[in-house]
Amino acid sequence: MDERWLLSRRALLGGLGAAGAMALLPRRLRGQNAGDPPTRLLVVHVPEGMWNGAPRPSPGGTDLGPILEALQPYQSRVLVLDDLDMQSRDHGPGGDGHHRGVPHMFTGTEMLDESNAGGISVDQRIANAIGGDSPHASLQFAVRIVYGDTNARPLWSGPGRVVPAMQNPWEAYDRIFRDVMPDAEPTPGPAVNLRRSALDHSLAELNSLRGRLPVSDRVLLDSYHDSLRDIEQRLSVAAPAPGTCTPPTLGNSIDVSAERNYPAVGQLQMDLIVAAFQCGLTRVASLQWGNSNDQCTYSWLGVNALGHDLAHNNNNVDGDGSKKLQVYRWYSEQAAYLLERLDSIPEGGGTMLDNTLILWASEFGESNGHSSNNLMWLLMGNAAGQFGTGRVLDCGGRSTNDLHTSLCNAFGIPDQTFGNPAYCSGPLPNLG
Amino acid sequence: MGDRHWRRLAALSSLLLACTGQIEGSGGGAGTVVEADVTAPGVADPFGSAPGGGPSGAAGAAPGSGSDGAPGDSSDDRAAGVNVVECLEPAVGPTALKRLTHREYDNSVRDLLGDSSAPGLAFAPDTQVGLFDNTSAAQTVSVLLADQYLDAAERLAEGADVDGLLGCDPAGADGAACVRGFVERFGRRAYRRPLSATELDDLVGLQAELAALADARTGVRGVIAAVLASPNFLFRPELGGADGELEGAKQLTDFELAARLASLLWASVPDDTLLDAAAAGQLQDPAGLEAQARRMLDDPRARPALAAFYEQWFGLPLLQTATKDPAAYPRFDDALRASMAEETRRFIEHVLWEDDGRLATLLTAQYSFVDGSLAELYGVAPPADPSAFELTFLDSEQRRGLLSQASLMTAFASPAESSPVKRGKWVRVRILCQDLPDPPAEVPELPGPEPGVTTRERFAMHTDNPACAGCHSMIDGLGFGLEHYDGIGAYRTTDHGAEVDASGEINHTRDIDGLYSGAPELADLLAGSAQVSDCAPTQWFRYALGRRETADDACSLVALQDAFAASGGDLRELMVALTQTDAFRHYRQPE
Repeated sequence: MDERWLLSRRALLGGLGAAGAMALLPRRLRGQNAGDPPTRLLVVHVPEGMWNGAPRPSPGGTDLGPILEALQPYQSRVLVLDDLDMQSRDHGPGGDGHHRGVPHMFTGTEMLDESNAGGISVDQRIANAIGGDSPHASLQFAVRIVYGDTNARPLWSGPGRVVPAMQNPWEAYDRIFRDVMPDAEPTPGPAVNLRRSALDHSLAELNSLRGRLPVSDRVLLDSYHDSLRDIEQRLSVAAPAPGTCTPPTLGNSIDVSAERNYPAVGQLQMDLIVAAFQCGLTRVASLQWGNSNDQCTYSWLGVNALGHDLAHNNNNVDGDGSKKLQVYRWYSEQAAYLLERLDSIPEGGGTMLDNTLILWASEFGESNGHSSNNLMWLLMGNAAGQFGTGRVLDCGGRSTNDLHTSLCNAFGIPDQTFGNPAYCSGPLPNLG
Repeated sequence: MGDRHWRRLAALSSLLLACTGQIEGSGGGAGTVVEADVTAPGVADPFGSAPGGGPSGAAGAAPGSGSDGAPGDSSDDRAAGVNVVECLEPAVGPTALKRLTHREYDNSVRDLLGDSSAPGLAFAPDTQVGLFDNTSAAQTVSVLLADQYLDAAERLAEGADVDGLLGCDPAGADGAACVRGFVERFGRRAYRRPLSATELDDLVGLQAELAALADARTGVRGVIAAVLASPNFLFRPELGGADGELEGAKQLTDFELAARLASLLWASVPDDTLLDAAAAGQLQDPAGLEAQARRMLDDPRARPALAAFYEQWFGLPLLQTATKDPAAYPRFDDALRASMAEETRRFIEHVLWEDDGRLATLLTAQYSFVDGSLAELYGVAPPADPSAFELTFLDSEQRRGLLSQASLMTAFASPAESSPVKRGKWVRVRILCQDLPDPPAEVPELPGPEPGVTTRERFAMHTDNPACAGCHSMIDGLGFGLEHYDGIGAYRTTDHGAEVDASGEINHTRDIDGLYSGAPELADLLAGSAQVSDCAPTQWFRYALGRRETADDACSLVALQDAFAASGGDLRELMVALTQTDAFRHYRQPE
């Protein structure tokens, strides 16, 4: 096997000889059991809840209804979780429904202040547990976030530590794939790796600075320290073997902040997620569609009204509800695209979809009310048979923290609660 | 918190308009101070139930008319929605560690390396808190950002003109001295202070180590990369020096002051002149600090640094992503959007640096900068070269100052129509410094557009419906005055076939309550308001310190507001006055 690609960019601070380089030999990613494909988690945020103008799917039925119609071909792979309640949301500091709901939805605990979540989000909790063998413990993607206040900040690596997302697929591609793909034309590595030496130097200076500055400054300093450690760890984890994956072809760069490119950017981000999973570059990813306070006018659908105004029926922009139906259905089509991609890649005895779990979620129940109860979230795929898909489960107002506990359990974390235990009564029953 | 503190807190907090008791869970906009102690129900008397809420002593409040108190009575000022600050005992709020903003990163590498590639533009955007993107509490470093720091450090170091930076031969006979001299100079600017002996030795050692593996210049590149990724560069650590006169606070050291000056006035690292002044101990003296501030304001680097504040204060970035319904506004495209943004940038820069630099001029100037597409939008003669922006006088009956510019009228509007709500909120929050509670979740539907019914008439439902009236009576009356501008800022006399009514009412202010009509009159009222005059220093204070003001900042804020008023609202003098405040010059360790 040709190992030269390993030497192209990584871990090449001078002095690392052949023996050192051999220590970076690829090794297989681990699933639950040796030899099994790895299970993976994808958390997706979509804006503005559910529209009650169309019927939700009901327990016992197999008809997903008009909003989720695009997912009907995958009905057997979908577990609809109806009537969840984000119980933590109305406690503690925070702004309006968007600015509370988003930082609460995956953390399940009170915010520190109006701008900062108070705990770790479930994806990051799981990434901490299973990400160590991957080059990236987790990867975050987003499509056209218009303004980045807390209404666009669902993911947190700890209290006050936001995890931002990559909004540009080309930059994301460069970050994820450049270090790990075999060079088409093997080139001699540089004699020294400036990136690596800068990293080492910064870690040393952080250690020195940390001792001199007051405890209150450590939130910022430690965030940088921990992030550098994470990158350092990446340098010691082997990349996938050449030929085991095909990174997507992105085409020419487009303006990712232009609304007209929203569908194209979204599709590219989904392609990158699937490729990152397939290549073993991460087991945990996320995708954010726009702002919670939806600033997209869905011009390509001919809607031309802000999603947020639609949700609130503002200015009567959508008298008969047809525009809302179009928008919500469009998001379901995006989910279907994702499932189609994952299901098209054979893995183990089935497809990648079988080994993946997708949580598809909005922070609102009914759209106009912007409430955090009666949420309808979707689980898709089943993380190697752990979730009983193909049905609608009435969760009876159970806390989203209960669901998060179940997700943790599915990825090998034996915790009995998630978030603030005051808003958690244990794993959600009847998921299997 | 003691009663003494409470009184200052109540007075200091920019008012959270407690406009309705019906809003569930209204946590209070961006207020960090307000929520726990000040929020009180009731339209007429937001601070009325505050314990210890007594007379406010400062800032020359004018009679208010928004409550049932006697005109001129200070308790009435509060009831009317007054954000009066009172300074009872000198103190400063806690100092928060700051990280470079991405803007500061770009400017710093420009000044350190002569590299204008601005890699920070592609860094993961910082979380916006309130109006600004530079709040300390939102400056943690994610894995993504750390990756971007390392990438940028590597790329910038690889592209650096090493020979030009060193001015000597690192591989020559005196190579060691050459390298050591460079590391001292470069490190002092990047860390905004002289390197410690250990830091110097470590970086020189790094150069030698890498030089042994490759060559001397590569070693220097390694130093550059290491410095650019260093926490001592990326953060602005402060500890203070000598004990000051303020209880619990220390004076900032000269080098810490130099770093603050460079951040505030240049959004960058200090130059050698400033660092030399710091080394000579000249910045502890307020006069020495002022002299440097004036020198730096005269430097071109001050222009983009100050512009960044004004663009965020006024919400100009929202124009970039505003989307319009092509059926309603067929002429709105990316080119017109870019022209709008350029107009406002040029206007702000001109007022600040070419005209008299006054806040009132920003609000009321009779001119703006117009290219061909804007001339068409504004109905004025186009410049000879339609792609050029020319200073153009606009119809004084139609437009005046910032408020009537197409950029803001477009950013603060709906996709297919104007928005008295977004525009009214713009005035209330950004210009009057009054925070509003969050809107309720369940929003009743407004009637849809129909011929013969103006936007304003439809929005009047807000004030007809008691559930909406509490807040919207404080918002819409400010936005109705701008109804002559449609959703992309074109002047109109009719809306949906009916005549535009741009009369409005200002309420719950310290000194400009009353009826008015149209944007020119609104602009004049705002320009003459003491409350608006006090708001600009408040916003600058937040931006400069990367945090909201606290009760302990009252004396600094009062001093700043007084100085600004005394200067006649001179925004350049405001920068100098900011450097003289206790809050700018002191360090207080957070508890």
